[in-house]
Amino acid sequence: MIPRTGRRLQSSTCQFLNPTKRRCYSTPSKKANAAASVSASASLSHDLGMGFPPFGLAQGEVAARGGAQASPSPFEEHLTTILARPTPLTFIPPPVQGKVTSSLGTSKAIDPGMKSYEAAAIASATWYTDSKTIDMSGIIDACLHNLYDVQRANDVFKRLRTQLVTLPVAAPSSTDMDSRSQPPPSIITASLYNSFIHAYVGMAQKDEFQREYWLEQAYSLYDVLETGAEGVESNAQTYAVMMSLWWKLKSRTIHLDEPWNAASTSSSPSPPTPAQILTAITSRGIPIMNVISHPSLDSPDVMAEIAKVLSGEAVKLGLKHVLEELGEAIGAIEGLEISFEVQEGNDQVNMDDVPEVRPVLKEVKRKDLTTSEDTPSHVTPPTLVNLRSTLAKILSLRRVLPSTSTSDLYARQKHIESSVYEMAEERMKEEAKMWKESGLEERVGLSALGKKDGQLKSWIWEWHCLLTERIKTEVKKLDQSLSPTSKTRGRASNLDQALAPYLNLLPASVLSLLTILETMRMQGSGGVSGGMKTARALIGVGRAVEEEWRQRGGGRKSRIIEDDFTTAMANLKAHGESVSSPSARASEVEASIGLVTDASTNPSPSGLRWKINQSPDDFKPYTASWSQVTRSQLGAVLVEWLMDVAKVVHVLPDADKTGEVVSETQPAFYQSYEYVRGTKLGIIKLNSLVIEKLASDSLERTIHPRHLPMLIRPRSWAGVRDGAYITRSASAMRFKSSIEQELYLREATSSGSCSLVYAGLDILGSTAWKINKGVFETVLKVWNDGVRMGKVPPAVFDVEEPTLEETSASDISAMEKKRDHGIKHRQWSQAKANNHSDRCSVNYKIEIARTFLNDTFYLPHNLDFRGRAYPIPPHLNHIGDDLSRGLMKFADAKPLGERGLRWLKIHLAGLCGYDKAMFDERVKWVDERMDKVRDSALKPLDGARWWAKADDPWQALAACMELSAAYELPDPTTYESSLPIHQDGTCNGLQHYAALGGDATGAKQVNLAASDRPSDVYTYVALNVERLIEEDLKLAEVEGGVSSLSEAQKEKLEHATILSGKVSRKVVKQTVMTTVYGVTFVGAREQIERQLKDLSLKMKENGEDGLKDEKIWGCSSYLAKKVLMSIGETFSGAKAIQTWLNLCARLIAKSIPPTRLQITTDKAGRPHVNLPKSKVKKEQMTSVIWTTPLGLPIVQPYRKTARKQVMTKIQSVYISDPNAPNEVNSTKQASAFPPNFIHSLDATHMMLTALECRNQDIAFASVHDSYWTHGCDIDRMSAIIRDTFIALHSSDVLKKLNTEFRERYKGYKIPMDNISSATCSLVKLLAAAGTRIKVPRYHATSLKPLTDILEFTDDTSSSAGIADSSDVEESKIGKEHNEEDAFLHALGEGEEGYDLENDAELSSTKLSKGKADKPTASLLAGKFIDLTDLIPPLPDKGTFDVENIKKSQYFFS
Amino acid sequence: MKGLRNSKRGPKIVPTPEVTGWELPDIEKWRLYFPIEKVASRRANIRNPDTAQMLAEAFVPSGSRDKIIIDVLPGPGQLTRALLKLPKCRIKKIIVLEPANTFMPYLKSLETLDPRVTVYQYHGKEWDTYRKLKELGAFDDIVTTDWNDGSSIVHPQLQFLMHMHSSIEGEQLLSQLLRCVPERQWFFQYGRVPLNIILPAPVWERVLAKESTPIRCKLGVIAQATMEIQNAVDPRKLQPFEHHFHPKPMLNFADAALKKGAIPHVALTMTPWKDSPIEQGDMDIWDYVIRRLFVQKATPVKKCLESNSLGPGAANMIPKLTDSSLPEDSILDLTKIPRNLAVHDWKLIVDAFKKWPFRPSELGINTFTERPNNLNR
Repeated sequence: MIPRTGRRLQSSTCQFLNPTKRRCYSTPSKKANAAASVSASASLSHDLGMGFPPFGLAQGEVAARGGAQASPSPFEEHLTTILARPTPLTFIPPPVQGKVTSSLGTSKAIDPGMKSYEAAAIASATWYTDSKTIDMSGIIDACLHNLYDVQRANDVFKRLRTQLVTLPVAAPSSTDMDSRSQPPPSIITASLYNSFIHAYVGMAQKDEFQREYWLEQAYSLYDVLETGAEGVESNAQTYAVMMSLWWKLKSRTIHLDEPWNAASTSSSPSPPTPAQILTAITSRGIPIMNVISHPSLDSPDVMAEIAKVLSGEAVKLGLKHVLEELGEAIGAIEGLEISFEVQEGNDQVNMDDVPEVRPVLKEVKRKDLTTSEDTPSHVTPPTLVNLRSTLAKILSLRRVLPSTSTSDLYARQKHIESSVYEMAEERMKEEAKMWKESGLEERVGLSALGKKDGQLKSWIWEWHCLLTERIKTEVKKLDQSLSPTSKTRGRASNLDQALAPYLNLLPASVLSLLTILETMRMQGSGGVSGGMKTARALIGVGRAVEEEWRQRGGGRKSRIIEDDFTTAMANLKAHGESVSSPSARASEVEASIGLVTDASTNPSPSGLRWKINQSPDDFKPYTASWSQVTRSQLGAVLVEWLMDVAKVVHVLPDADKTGEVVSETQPAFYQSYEYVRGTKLGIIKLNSLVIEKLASDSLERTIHPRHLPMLIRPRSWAGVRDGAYITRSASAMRFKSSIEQELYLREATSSGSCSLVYAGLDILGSTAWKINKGVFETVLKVWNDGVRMGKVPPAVFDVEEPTLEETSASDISAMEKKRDHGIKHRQWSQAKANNHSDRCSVNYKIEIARTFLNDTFYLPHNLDFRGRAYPIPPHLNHIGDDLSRGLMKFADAKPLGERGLRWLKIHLAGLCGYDKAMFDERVKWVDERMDKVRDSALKPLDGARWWAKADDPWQALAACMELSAAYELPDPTTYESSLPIHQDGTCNGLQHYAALGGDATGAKQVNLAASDRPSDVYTYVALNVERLIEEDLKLAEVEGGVSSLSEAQKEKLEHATILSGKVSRKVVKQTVMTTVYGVTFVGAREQIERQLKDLSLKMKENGEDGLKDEKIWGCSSYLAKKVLMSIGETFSGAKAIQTWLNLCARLIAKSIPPTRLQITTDKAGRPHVNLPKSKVKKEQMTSVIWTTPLGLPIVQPYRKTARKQVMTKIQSVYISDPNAPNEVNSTKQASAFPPNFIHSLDATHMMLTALECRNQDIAFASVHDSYWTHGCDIDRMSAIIRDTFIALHSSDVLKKLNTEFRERYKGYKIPMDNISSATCSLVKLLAAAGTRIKVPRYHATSLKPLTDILEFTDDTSSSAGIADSSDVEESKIGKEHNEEDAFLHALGEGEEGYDLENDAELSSTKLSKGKADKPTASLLAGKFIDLTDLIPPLPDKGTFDVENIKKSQYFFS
Repeated sequence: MKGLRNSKRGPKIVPTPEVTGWELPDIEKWRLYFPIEKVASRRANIRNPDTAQMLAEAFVPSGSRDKIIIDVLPGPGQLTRALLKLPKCRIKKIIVLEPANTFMPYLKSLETLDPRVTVYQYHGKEWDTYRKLKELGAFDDIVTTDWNDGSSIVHPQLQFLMHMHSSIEGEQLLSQLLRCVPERQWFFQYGRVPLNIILPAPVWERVLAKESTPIRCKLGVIAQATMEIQNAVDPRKLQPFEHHFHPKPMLNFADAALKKGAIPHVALTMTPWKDSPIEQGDMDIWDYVIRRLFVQKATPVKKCLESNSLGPGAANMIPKLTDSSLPEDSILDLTKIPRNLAVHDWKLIVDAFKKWPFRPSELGINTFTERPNNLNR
């Protein structure tokens, strides 16, 4: 409740301020001549002192907050603690290019420099696995599956071991290496070894002729693990496998002619006895339960048997604690046995008796109602049938492990995830049957042009049947040709041989459906209309196979049970936490936050997440990832078969107007090539008939679960690839094909330094959502009507096709007309294609909304590489377009209250574009339109459709409905509202810059400073530019007449005259916005040119003279200068920071780590670089890496790309190998760093806000810089937003970054000619930024090109780290040569021969001039300098104090 | 390098034109007088007056009467001058189209010296130009001859002469002009107007490339299907480039790549066939068929069709092309690769395509809705 006085004050100021009413709308095209708003905000700021509530808080709360400010709330303490801690840094050596093995054996000179050089290469190889190795492990994985080809796996395994395991042995004890880094988890893991032992045992069982051979293999590998000879050691799984082997031998499952112990008489390794195994288990401290309950033990019988044997041994050995544990275990296993019987014996669990299953039933029923009326209502929903068997399993499981899943939702979620393809197949089978029975199939088949819903599905079913058969046949053929007994062995090509094991991983029907659905899903990607790039499609299908295989846990049978069992056991034992229990997650989050306080006292993090990460990977099955090559080749065979079998019948009812029906069978998918800018590009296209259906038919069951929201709260993130979905793998970060990013995140995760980021992700994922039914109904109506409405595209493209005007032959301009027509037609058909793809994407959204109509759902989140959070489900999420947002609301409702009602109105005004006014004005604006609001809510389509005119129509409709429903009540404030209300940062990037730089003027313009009216930085800049133009207009007066002006001045005057009075907010908006992203002058000029062209068109439409076309270029150039100048003035601190960030990145991207420089010390004790000049470029591998205040390491992925040709069945594709990093792209590294850094800050701000909102039990969702919560909580969230922002910016962000750089890149050196040469004047920029290096005076001449940054000192200890290279002489020559080349090149290669303009004489003088420059430039060749010496000092901060933000009500609004 | 160019080079100093009417500046100093500006870059113009005379004689030989010459991109006008020096009866008028400012003074002076010359500062590549000229009445005195009338072999008056741009732009223009032939558009509405083109040798090679040669391409097929093509003069007579053409390359550049202007040039005369295999209205289809098949220029046509090069279901055309009931010369050898197809073969495919009811309706290049930035990914 706002106190009366406060309200009066507001309304009076509001009247006072009203002259600029139209500026209250964000109608950007309006001319910004309203200087009033800017000056008014300044003149009225003193009112703030008169008790104007900060961001509209009630008086009482202000007082409370005032108190809180005096003594900070607990979380503020937390915040300060988190942000004040020294950033925990993660270090990993940068990757090294090329082969490692080169000179290992022949290292002739025992040179410490050389040694560390090799060591670095080896270290790099252990961190960064190359594609070849990945492929080897992939093939092992595939060959071991179902014992497909164990011998082959074994061969590859041997090679892998000699290649990788020997590496660390050969490596010198690397003292020079970064000792901070731990040896990484490489591909060589215990689970790999275990799976081999497991396979050997399997073979021993299967292959009776070579039983002993396989057993020996198993024993010897066990020995390797026991002795740790290859750096890997036994774990629970090893012992479980060995115990099961023991049991198999004992029970004669593996029958040996000779008794069990006889094997030891041979020379080969002997089998371990249970006693030995038990001793080993206890000596390694492995909980015995982990062995007994390991999933590799097939049945409870075995478990019990083994447990008994082990307990017997334990008695003998006197291991009391083992006995105790085993006692419990045997009891538990006996319980298990019963439940297994239930599952196996009674598949027909009576569903009706189980109340928990109801939601599933209900869902099925509901689906019937909403699908088309074709489905006869009496038919049992097909999903139910196949649900039953799975549910039976889950039910039995529940009896075994009652604590695992107490909710059906968990089961449903799991079910959706685990059996997507089977479910889809089952359903389609049912439908196909139905069509057949009703005769629909024929109708559908015949009338290809018919609008029958279900055409697409019937096609898919048809293709699926054919493709499944095809895959079966082909795989059978392949297997036969590969089998050792086959006469045709060797006939299969190498490619087929390589792929055969992979094709056996999944059932043919799954491979088939997966290929079809993935191919259809990728339609329209990569800018290809009606198709996709071949390479992308192939990799996509290959990856889908890989993921499906991985998700199935590497092909283990009955994995649902096993998986649950594993997880449950692991959790019960290790953490006592149940996976799905919300309370447990909440406590975990709290623990994570609590961890912060721990962190202050105890540097080692002790959160639960950390524990999870530390849990042994005994339970994680061994799975290898595949290389891009494998993916694309596998994808290619599948897609090729699909293209071969999938056909559609194209029917023309009246071709040639003869009334005759003709039909033709055409491929549904086909390969084609296009020339794009001279490059031949392979494309896979969809038949236009299919595309048409894709935009109109129901897409039910064609959506992969990883594209769906979840029914339960997402699993907490426990690791980089461990979280969100229950069984599907998801990645916590979207890596931009950069292996480095993943390594860093892994390291940071296992050290626990970024736990809070994971906690933040969990919080974002735990926000519960519902479908807004009112909006959904309206959307559905619009969709079914097929009309264009509120950004829903029409079913039939509603723009008329342009027709070519009839021309007579004598018309000389026929060609002109034809060309114009061509352009128009092309635009039209592109618009049509876009309409199609829009329609497809809306179709997906509606389909998902329909599916979740009665459910509460959750959106699991992950990060992009800068730490910004995104929901993982791509189609329907709150980050999506207006339609998606309108369809969603919070699942929980909270009473609006006085404040909530007010915020709801403000929200609605904002959605309608009325967002520049004061809050009270916005409330009033809505109050005045209540009849329209009601009309919109009650008759969205039949009424006046007021909502449809809003900027964001669907969200506006949702708000109208909410508001109208509230006013239905006698007291609207009691309305239980679940509509998210938004608080958006006003130009958030600039807000962060202004806060970093302390820019007082800038801060005010982006609402960091208090003001009673929202400021608009775009208007401010526009006005500023107008002022600059006015100054130029006076040029003539100042200089005394036009005639006395110089040419340049005349031009200026001309441009000023043209532009005066035309600079609107819209013209400058994009440029101001993109300043944060480091827009260049050229970019800015282009943006402004576009705006001026638009403006000119508008003026012409209004009957005014437009701008002259030929003047636009000059004008935009002139204006761009003014805009950039104005921004620079307003945000001077920000500008300096941007420069500093950019310079740092430029330096880092040029630097080389000390381990790769082969540094030796000469007699005088000076360091000497031995890296050959020719290799310098290849060693510039350093990415810009920094750590956010929340401890997230951020790695810029930009490197030079090298593509490799890969032959596939369809075509050869060029793909870049993410596992073979190249040198960094220094330009991109530098230009992207400032914006990425700012993004990492806004991401941090968001995460902090999310954490604190959870702390205060406020719902929270965010779209980067737009934060959402319930209306009634907005005030509290506003306070949090401000607190977190202030805390963030009070924590010396830049200083920490500076420290981090100096720590992270310590000892890294930069080739000096990279900072000063004929083509590079970095040194001047460094000088301007304040870099000074201290050198002894005798360097004055040798470092002449660096004079600008030199400072002489006599104190050698403080001088900069300069090192010479032995390669100087050679490099000097090389340099001269190169430079000449470069120079000539530059002269000759200018655009359009521009450089050839001068005659030979002129050029030759240029040449000699170039030569004259050279000696000074080459002075620097072969010299290196420490990166840290060159980093400029941090720019000074301005006067603005972030604490002021507390008083700014429009900071986020 | 931008910085270097701006900072170290002064402003360009172009000598004031010494316009003396007929005379052009000393041909050894043309680089100074006619610097390569953006608008005139990638162009080669006849510099040597003797060469110009030779070409003028070849383009408008004796016996020609009252010709109307459209002279496009003449540069300083050396060839134009040579044409004017021919016996006056041969040429009735010359319409000069030249967009570059640099050359204007030297062309405009001709306008004052010889009433037969009209200079327009327009670009010959803009269709707009011809509409404007027509509106100005520049073509009013051109007679229209019946294309199929046996009596008139070629158009009696009109002749189109062009120094072709050596960039992709020039080639595009040439191919557009060729496309006008079957549709009887542009100047071809007046009849079979011959084109005299001075063009870079690489383009010339491709225009003339016969089937089964490696450089056979779409441009060549369309050119040969629409035009009878002859060398105007022996190509050797125009070599070496620097002897005949402006801009003279800077010889002190050893690197061949830097002699960018020095691509050999040749001169062609192209006359529209009386009966082109391309029927009126079929140009878009020819264009589509040739373009699509040349993407797989070394793959047998059968395989191309099977792999849906001409649209999904294109394989259904195969029986129509190999129908044994057809006369022998209407059966296509499908083992041929697109590069080896003669114009006649192309016609067979185009006809079959026209008869295919399911042929794609969209024949333009519309695959990409946005500019692909990541080729082959």
